[in-house]
Amino acid sequence: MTDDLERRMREAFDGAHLPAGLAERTLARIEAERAAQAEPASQAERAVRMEHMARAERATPAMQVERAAQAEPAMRAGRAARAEHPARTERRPARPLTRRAAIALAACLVLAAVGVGGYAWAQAPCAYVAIDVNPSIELGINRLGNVASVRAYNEDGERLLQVLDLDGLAYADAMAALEERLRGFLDDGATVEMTVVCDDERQAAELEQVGVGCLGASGSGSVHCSHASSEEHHAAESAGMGLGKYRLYLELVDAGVDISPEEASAMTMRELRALLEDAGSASAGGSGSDAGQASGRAGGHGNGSRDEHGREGGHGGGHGGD
Amino acid sequence: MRAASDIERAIGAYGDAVWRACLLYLNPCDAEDVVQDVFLKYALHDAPFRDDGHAKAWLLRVAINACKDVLKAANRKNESVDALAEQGRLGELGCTDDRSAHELARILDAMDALGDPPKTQLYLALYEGYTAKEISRMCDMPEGTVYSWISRGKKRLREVLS
Repeated sequence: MTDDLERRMREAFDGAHLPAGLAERTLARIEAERAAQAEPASQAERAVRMEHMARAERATPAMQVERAAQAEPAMRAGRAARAEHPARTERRPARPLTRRAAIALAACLVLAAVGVGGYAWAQAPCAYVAIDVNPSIELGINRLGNVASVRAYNEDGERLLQVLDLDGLAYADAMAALEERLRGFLDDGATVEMTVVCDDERQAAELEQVGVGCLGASGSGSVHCSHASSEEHHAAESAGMGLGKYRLYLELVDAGVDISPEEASAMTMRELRALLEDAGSASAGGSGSDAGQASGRAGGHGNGSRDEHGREGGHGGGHGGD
Repeated sequence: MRAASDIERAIGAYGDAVWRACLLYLNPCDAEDVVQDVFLKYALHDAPFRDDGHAKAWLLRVAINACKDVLKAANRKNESVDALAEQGRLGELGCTDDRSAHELARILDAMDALGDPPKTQLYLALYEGYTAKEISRMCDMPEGTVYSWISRGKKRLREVLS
């Protein structure tokens, strides 16, 4: 069957070729660029450039000869151009840096780089906490324990981030602020899906503990926390979804549900879970998903995605049918 | 800058491959621009390639990234090939005849319906025959993810095409 697919693609694409004239136009454009690059050519410069070309490359003798040959017509063109328009060509100074100056400059650059690099290292996110209720957002936490980046994965998420500025806040503060905003969604009895991506076990556990504590504070919704690898994180990012949603999406596809990443991204977590229940998938966690199947629109609990830390907040089976 | 003969040879050997990859994302007009940019970059890329395979993979990767940049900048999806057909511009696809043009249009629309990913990964695997490992390097994503996208993409493509 794959052969059939391959055959069709092959037949379709094999028939397409570079349009007439495109090859010539491309070559012409490249040659124009070559001529433009060869423009500035004074006597001294030519000597310096030839020297650099001979010294800098590890090319074969054949290539060297070719490069020299290349330079010749270009230089002649340059000379001719200058003869016509003496004022036009610009002169680049050919004075090479003295050794001491070069070393001093290099040292300064290295120091600056280390300084900038060190700052960037501490600043860069080393862990990610993704939150999907319906708003899908992701916080990047840096080594100092502060929020270094925020990202929204859907419209609700974007709206949330517009009213809430979390950048630079300490992690716990950020989570508290979020909990306030999310209360609206939580009151409906939705489950907050929290996913932690962090290679450091100790930090990961800490992030989870604080996060669950903050988000579950009001006691109305329930928080479900899991961990993910940076690979999954990357895949979710490419798919344009928050991690929690991405995992659900994968489950849906595995269950044979025909759904595209865009569609999944636009649906709420609850809707996705409902779809999953519809598909009758025997979810890995299998955590007591009783009743609530009547209309297929059950409040989506009990759909434990495979993880180690499911912590349901005391809501029994789904809400009955409607 | 590479010699003219080198570039000419590259266009001859890989021009079609680069053109086809561009059609996957852009309309023929934009695709032409990208093709020129890609080979200009090739001309300016002085570091040697390990072998022909390396050069081709490099060209395709540059082409795909350039196409995605165009799409991002213009903030638009690939113009429906149907629209081209309506305007009688299918000839711009560079196909040998009308029937191939229509078939290609059909496939391109189907691939667009899949979304990206898995469009890129599927094309590189099914048409260009790259392995998941090579694709993971070209697209900068984990190998496992590439496998998932390819298997799901195949399933979707079959459905869309039937």
